[in-house]
Amino acid sequence: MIQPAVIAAVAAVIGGVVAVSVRDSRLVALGLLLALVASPLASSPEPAALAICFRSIGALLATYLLWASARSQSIASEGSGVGAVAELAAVCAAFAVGWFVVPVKPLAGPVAAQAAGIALIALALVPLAGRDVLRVGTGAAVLTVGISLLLQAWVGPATSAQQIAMTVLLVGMVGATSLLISPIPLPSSRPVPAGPSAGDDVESDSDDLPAPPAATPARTVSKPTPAGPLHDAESRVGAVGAPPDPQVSPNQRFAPGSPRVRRLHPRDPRQ
Amino acid sequence: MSLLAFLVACGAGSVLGLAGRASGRAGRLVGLVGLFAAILAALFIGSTTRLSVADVTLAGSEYSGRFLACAAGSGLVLCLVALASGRSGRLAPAALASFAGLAVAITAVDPGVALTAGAVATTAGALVLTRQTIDSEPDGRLAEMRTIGLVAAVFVGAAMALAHPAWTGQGDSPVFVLGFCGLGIGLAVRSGAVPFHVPAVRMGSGGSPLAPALLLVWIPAGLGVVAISWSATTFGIHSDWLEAVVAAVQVVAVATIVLGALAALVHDELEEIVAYSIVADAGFVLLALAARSDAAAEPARMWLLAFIVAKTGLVAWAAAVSHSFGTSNLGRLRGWLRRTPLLGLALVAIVIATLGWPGSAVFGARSTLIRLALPEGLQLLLVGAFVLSLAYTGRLLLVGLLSPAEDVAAATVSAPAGDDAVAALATPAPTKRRGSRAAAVALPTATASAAGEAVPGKVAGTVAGTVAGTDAGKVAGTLAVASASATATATDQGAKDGPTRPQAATGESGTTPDLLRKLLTVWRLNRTLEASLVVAVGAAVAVILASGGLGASDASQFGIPLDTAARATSTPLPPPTLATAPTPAPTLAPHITALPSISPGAGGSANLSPSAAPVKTAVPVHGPAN
Repeated sequence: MIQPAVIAAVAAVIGGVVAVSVRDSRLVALGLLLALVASPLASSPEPAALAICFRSIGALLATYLLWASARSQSIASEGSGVGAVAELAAVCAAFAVGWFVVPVKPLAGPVAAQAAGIALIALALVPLAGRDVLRVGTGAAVLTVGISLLLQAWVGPATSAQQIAMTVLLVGMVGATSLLISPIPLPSSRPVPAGPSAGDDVESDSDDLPAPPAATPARTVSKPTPAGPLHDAESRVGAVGAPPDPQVSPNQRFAPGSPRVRRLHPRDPRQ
Repeated sequence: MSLLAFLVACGAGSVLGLAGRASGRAGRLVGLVGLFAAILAALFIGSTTRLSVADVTLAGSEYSGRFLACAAGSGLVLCLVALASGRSGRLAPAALASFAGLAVAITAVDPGVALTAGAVATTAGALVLTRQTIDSEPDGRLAEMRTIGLVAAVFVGAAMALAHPAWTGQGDSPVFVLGFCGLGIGLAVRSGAVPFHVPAVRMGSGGSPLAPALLLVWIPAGLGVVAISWSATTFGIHSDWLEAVVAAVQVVAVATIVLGALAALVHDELEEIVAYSIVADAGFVLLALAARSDAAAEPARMWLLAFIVAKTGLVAWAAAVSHSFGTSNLGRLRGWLRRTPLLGLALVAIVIATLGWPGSAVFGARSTLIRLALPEGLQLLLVGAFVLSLAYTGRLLLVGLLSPAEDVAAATVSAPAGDDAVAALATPAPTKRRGSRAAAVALPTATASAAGEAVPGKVAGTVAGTVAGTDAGKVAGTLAVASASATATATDQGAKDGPTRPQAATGESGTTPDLLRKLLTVWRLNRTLEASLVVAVGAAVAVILASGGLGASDASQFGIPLDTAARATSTPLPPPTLATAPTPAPTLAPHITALPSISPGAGGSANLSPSAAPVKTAVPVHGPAN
C-alpha cells in the first residue's frame, strides 16, 4: 500500500514542476499551493493537525498574495528556462537519486521526503538563475520547500515552532515576490502638487523620478541581447526596437508580437 | 513579558503601518509609535525574560535587549529624519517586521527556529524596494529576490549542520564545511561584501535612499549575531576543506574592507559613498565569522552594536544633506559644511563612533577581530582600514569647507534676509524636486522677510501659495502669513516696523495666529534644522556606545541562547567525552546555566552538558572529524 508520505512527496514535486514550468502566474500560484500544502505531509510521523492547518493556511495566504498581484494585470513568466521536458527529466533523475542514495542512516524520515527534497532543489536551480523576478521568487520558494523536506527526512519531523517559522518564512518569501512583481504606482498616476511647501508631507519615493518622457520614436538600433533560451522579457523588448519605457513595470514590458512571451488576457487595472 | 511586548509592538506596528500607508500621516505615526514602543520594550529585555511559543522558548539576555533597543532606536532616528525630509513612510513597517524576525532569531533556544526566523527577517527587505528605476537593467528587485532566496536557503540548510543527522560517510566534516560556507555566503551577499557589492550599492537608486539602513545594516547585523554566536562554538574543528573555506572568507573580508573603503573614496554620489562605507565595515562581521573563536564573539557583538547605530547615523546624515541641498552629488555639495555645521559635527561624531579611539571599546573590538581572524602579516589591515576611513570622511569634510557650489548657495538652509529673500522670491522654482523642496522650506521665511520690507502679508501669502501649488499652496500661504509675524520681528527692519506690518499681514489675511500656530510654523520652517538635530543626537548616542557606554560593553559579554544551543551539540574538537563536556565560556549569560541540563539527542541518547539549553538536535558525542 502506498504510504501517504509518498503521495504527499510526489504531489509536492508535481506542484513544484507546475510552479516553475508554466507561464501563467495564476497557474504558478496553484502549483506553489500544491507544493506548500503537500510538503509538510511528507513526513513520518505526520505532524500534528494544528501544524498541518497552520501550514495550509499559510500556503493559502502565500498563494493569495501571488494571485492578487497577478489579478489586476497580466503577469507572465517565461515558463521553463530549459524546456518542460528537460525540467521533467531533471526532476525524475533527481528524484531517483534521492530515492536510492541515502546519506543518512538511519533515516529519520521517509525516503520519499528525501527524494522529493532533492528533486525540488534540482528543480529550483534554473529559475534562480533567470532574470525574471516572478520566476526567481518561485524558484526560491521551491528551493526552501525542498530543503525543508530534506530536513524532515534527515532530522525528523519538525516541531510545531519550526512549522510556524517555516510557514512565516514561505509566506514572507512569496509575499516578497508578489510585492516585487507588482506594478508600481507611477508619479503621473497620482496628483502631484506643483511644488512642495514647507511642512508638506508628500510621499516622496519618487523624488528622483523625472517627469514622464515625451513620446520618442522607436529606436532603429536594436539593443544587443544575449543569445540562448534564457532571454528575459526586457531584452526581447529591446530587441524589437522600442526603447524600454521607464514608466512601465518590467513585468508589463511585453512587446506585441514578441516571439515567445504570450500576453495573457490583459485586464483593466482595478480602479 | 517584555519580549512579548516587543513582538507585539513590532507586529502591530508593521501591519498597521502598512495598512495605514494610504492615509499618509496616520501610517507614519503608527510606525513611529511602534518603533518607540519597541524601544521601550527592548530596554526591559534581560536575562530573566522568557516567552514560550508553541514548543520553543524565547530566552532574552542582556545583549539581545541592547541589540534590539539599538536597532529600534536607530530605526526611530532614521524614520524621524525621513519624516523631517518628507520621505516615504514605508521604512518603519519594514523595519518593524525585520526586528520581529530578528528578535525571535536571537532569543530562540531552538537552532532551527532561530535560523529560520533570521531568514524571515530578510524577507521584509522587499518592502523598501518598490521604487521603479529608470534604467531597469540593474533593477534592484531581481537582486533582492535572489538575496532573499539565497539567505533563506542557506540559513534553513545550515540548520542541518546543527541538527547533526547520522551521516554515513566521513562524519560531519563535509556538512560542517557546507554549513560554514553557506553561512559565509549568506552573510556576504546580504551585507553586500565584495564581490556581491553591486546590487547593494545600487540600492539607493532602486529603493528608498534610506533602504541601505535596513538591508545593509540592521538585517546583516542581526544575521551576524546569529552566525557568529554559532560559528564560535560549532565550527571550531580542524579540516582541510574547512580551512580552505575559512581562508576564502578571510580573503572576502579583507577585500571588502579595503576595496569598500577605496570605493567610498573615489565615488561622488553620497548614496554610493554611504553604501560602500557600510559594506567596508561589514567586512569585520565576516572576520568575526572567520575567527571561529569564543574570544572573537564578544568583540564582534560589541562591534555590531556600534555598527548599527553609527552606520544608521551615516545613512541619516546622507539623507539630511541630500534633503538640505537638493542633490547628492559631492561635486555639487561644495560648501555644505558651511551651511549646515551641525551636520558636519554629526559626521565627525559618526566617524569617531565607527573607528573609535585607542582604548575605546570599538577600537578594541576592531583590533581584536583583526588579530584573531587574520595572520600576522595582515595585521596592518587595522591601520589601513583606519586610514582609508579617515580619507573618505576627510574628503567629505574637505568638500564641505570649500566655497559653496551653486546648489548649496541656492538652497538656503538658514533664514534668509533682505535681498536674499527678494531674490528667493524672484527666482523661479528649481527644476529638481529635491531642490524645490529645499527652496520651498526657505521660501516662506523669505516671504516673511520680504513682507517685513514692503510686501503686504496677503501678497506674500499669495506668492508663496502660487509657487507652492494648489492644495499645498493654501497651506503654505497660510504658513507664510503666519511666518511673517513670526520672523519679521526678528529682523532689524522688522524690529523697526514690526508692530504694524505683522498686524497688517494678519489683518489682511483674516486670521489671527495664535501661539500654537506660531510654534507650528517655526517648527515647520526649520525642518532642515530638526533633521540635523536628530542626526546629531543619533551620532552622539553612537559615540557613547562606541566608548562602551549605555551598557554596551557589559551586554557584549553575554551571548544569545543559540550559543548554548550550539554548545549542546557535540563539537568534534577536542575529542569529546562525557567528562569533557563543553565548559561554560565567559560569554555565556548567567541565566543560561539555570536551564535544564540534559538535552535529548536525535538518536535517543542524552547529551550531558551542564550549561546547555534544551535543544532537540543534540546527539551523542562523536569522534574527531576526519
